[in-house]
Amino acid sequence: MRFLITLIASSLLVGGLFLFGTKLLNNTSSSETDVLFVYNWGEYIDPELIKQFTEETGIRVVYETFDSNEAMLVKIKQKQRYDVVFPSEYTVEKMKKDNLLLPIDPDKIPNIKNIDERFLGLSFDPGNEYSLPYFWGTVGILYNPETTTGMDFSTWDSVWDESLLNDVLLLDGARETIGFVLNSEGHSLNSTNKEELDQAKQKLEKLSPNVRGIVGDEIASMMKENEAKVAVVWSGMAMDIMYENEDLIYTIPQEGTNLWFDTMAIPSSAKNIDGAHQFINFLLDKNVALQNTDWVGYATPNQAAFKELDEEVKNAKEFYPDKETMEKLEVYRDLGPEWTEYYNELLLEFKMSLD
Amino acid sequence: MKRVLALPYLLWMVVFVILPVFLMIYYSFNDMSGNLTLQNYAEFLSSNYIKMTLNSFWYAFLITVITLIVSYPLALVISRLKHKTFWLLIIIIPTWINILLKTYAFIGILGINGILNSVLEKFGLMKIQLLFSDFAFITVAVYIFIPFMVLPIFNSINGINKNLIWASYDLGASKWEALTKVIIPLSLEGVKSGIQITFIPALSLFMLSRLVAGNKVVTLGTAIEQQFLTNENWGMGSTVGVFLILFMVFVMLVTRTKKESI
Amino acid sequence: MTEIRLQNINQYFGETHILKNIDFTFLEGKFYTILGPSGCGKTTLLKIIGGFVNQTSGDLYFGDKKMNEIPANKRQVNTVFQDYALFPHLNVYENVAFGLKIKKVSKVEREARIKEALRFTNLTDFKYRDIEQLSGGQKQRVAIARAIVNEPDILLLDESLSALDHNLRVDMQYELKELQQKLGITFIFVTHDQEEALALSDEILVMDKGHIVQAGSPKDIYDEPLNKYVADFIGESNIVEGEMLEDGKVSIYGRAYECVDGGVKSGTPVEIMVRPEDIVLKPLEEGHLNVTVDSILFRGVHYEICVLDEDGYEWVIHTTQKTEEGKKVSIYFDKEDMHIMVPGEKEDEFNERLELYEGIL
Repeated sequence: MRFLITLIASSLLVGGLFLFGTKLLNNTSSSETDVLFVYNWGEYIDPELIKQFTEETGIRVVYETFDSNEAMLVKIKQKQRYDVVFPSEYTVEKMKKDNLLLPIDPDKIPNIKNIDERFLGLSFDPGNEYSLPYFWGTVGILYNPETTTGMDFSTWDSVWDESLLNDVLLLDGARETIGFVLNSEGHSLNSTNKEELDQAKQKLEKLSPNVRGIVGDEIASMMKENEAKVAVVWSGMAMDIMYENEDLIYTIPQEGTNLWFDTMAIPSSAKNIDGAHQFINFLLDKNVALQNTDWVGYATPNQAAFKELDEEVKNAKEFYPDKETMEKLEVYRDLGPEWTEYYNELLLEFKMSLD
Repeated sequence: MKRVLALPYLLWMVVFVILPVFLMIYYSFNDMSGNLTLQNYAEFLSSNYIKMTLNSFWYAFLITVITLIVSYPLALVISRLKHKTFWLLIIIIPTWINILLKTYAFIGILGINGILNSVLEKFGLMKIQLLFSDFAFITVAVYIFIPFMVLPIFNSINGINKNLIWASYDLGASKWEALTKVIIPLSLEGVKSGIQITFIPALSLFMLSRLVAGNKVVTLGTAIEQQFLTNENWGMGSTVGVFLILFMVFVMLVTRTKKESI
Repeated sequence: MTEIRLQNINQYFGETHILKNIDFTFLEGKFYTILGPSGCGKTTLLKIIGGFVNQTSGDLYFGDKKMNEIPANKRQVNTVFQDYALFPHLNVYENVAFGLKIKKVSKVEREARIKEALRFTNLTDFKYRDIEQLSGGQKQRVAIARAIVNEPDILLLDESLSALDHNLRVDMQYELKELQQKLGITFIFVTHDQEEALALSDEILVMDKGHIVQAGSPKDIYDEPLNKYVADFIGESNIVEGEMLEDGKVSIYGRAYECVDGGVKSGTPVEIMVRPEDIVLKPLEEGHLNVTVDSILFRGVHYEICVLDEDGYEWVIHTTQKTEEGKKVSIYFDKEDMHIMVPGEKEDEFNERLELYEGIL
């Protein structure tokens, strides 16, 4: 009995010490103005540009990466200090609601003028008060024409084709996967209509035999090796894959698809707000954006940089779609916790039903 | 003095085992907004999660059985060889290599352009899609668990008094009868140990199910990862975690050996 | 029917020559003991008979049947191992039943035979005990019961009593002897304890470095050992060197003594053995040799007195006579108590010679 009490008491003591300690550590993190803490996706910036920024401004950059919005949010919510962060569009909405972002002062960002107007004032941040676009893209179908002879994948339904038995890779993301199913039925991929979602669920289940796997980065290595014939991927990942495997084609089905944005934002835990603005402005510079686009390989919202791109790249309709196609593209809205959970559970159930 | 020596260990247990478990149990009663609720448990007991649990058990069971079938004869053979330590080392060395690295290596072996398929091609046979399949998942899992099963079984078999085997021959037993009536019964403790070490981790494999099974196999581990990282539903994730711990305790009780007392 | 014949058996383990040209026939129904120090090959010999070791060369016959190729599990032999080798996961009953189950004996017959075997070994009350709960002596009996329930023609025992304490050991010796007489089958018992060998056997095989040095009844071996090795190994002995003068006369330290051995060429150097219990202390000058008492040890049943003769040789005497250290006395022994051994004499020559001259002198 004595021992038990000692155990519990020491547990509480130690637990308390740890909590207190980490709080302390957090607060004593440097608030110097010549350091900038940047939190970005992996492989999402040309490292040379970071060096260049430090040379030009004298600000030292502490660079950290994450691999999912959710993982990033966990850190942000813990008030870990970051000065610049790169959330996706629907996450921006969420962060706004939770007061996790600081407003951007447009006066400090003269290079805003370089951004293509089409990509400003979007639904998730109408006045660009909290975010500015960084890279954008779509979700589409990546396929090997040689092994899928005769198919053109101009419609989402082609993914359900019987000939693709165990040959289709899907993204491990509820929005992406359920989204395209909704699109295939002509519904919005932001649907919160139970009927539409049920219909999508059933249609998704019919896809089971074709599903080779539901994964993330693994899609890249598999498609590079032609391990599967078809994959539903982000345009950015498609670009990366096609660079190594020139046989593949990326296309956007006619029903429309998701238009995604990764943005630059300033989290509320930022300490070097001036430096943050400088960094964002730096990235929007024409030449910097051009070099970055070359390195990262995704589609840039920077009009000034776009003009300087190679003709080949500029004209790639699958990566820079024409106006008509653009109109059919939808941006993800934050669905709120209940519907987000609903989507996620749906995907989990779908995974469980596969064998 | 003895009490003081045990202090670091106790501290460690408290901070890294006991506290987290309590924390997890606490969270399991929270919903997404932080209110206390039994909703998570209700949901776990719904058909989907039950199905997944049974699925998890089934895969873990398959993996354990196949590992046992491979490991027992292996342990038996090694116990009769001259340079036992050498052969054991060969079995154990793969465990020194990071599990993720081994998994990636298997992707290289099982891939459509990998070694296995290249061999098939050479013989004029058709290539098989091995990656992202049940077969791949179970094969890689078995490969990873073999050393953990072989060791305790080997120790058990090796510890059997050689005279017992002679005695069984003396009493008329054939080699096979000696195996089934003497060696196997006396090595059951080792087998039980091996089953524990295999079955319990197999319930929570999630990296493997993603990298090798393409997430087509959903284990309890996968569900936990999903809930914590994607859904941000720590409550549900913790609930699954609680059940996982319960299952682990259950398995340990069922396979406990005479020398232990849980 | 089942005499065991070993013909020219040789055993090598790697380079080591363990058994050298063993020739012997075990007759049916007798209690044999193979006696010798560690490493003499006695256990190997037993294992060859049991089928646990395949002899490197030579033949083994059970009756007329050549057993060389026949594995242990097919021989009508059962073994009682040194550490009993009882199956820990089975209780007493199941241990004893093991062999019968393998032979697929019917349940009814099985139960009857087990009951009998347990009765024979006084284990009826222990039928369902766990092995761990048994004492050394009880385990010993279970091992025996497990062996005899199979009604073997031959029972092999490998130093089975070594693990028991002295009193229990002596008790078990009685039991074993009685058992063998009741069952009437051949017992081959291996031990390094010569007292045990003397007590149990109908015949003893004394082994040394892979050879059978001498084989004979306990009394013969004790009274008439072939050579110094056997004499030293069995019982205690005093051995002096001397010279054979003629049949019935031997010279020790230059003095002639009457003895009862013969058949040795005059002038041959011999060894004379006298057992300590055959020596008597007499006042100075009255015995054969004058000696000084060196040490006295009280052994309970007798005194063990060491004396030194005038040539410096030490004699060991077992007697109930009292004396004192340092006293000068003399020792005496009858002529029948002197046993002549010719170094290098072979066993058959030895036996022949003894036969000829027994009772004559």
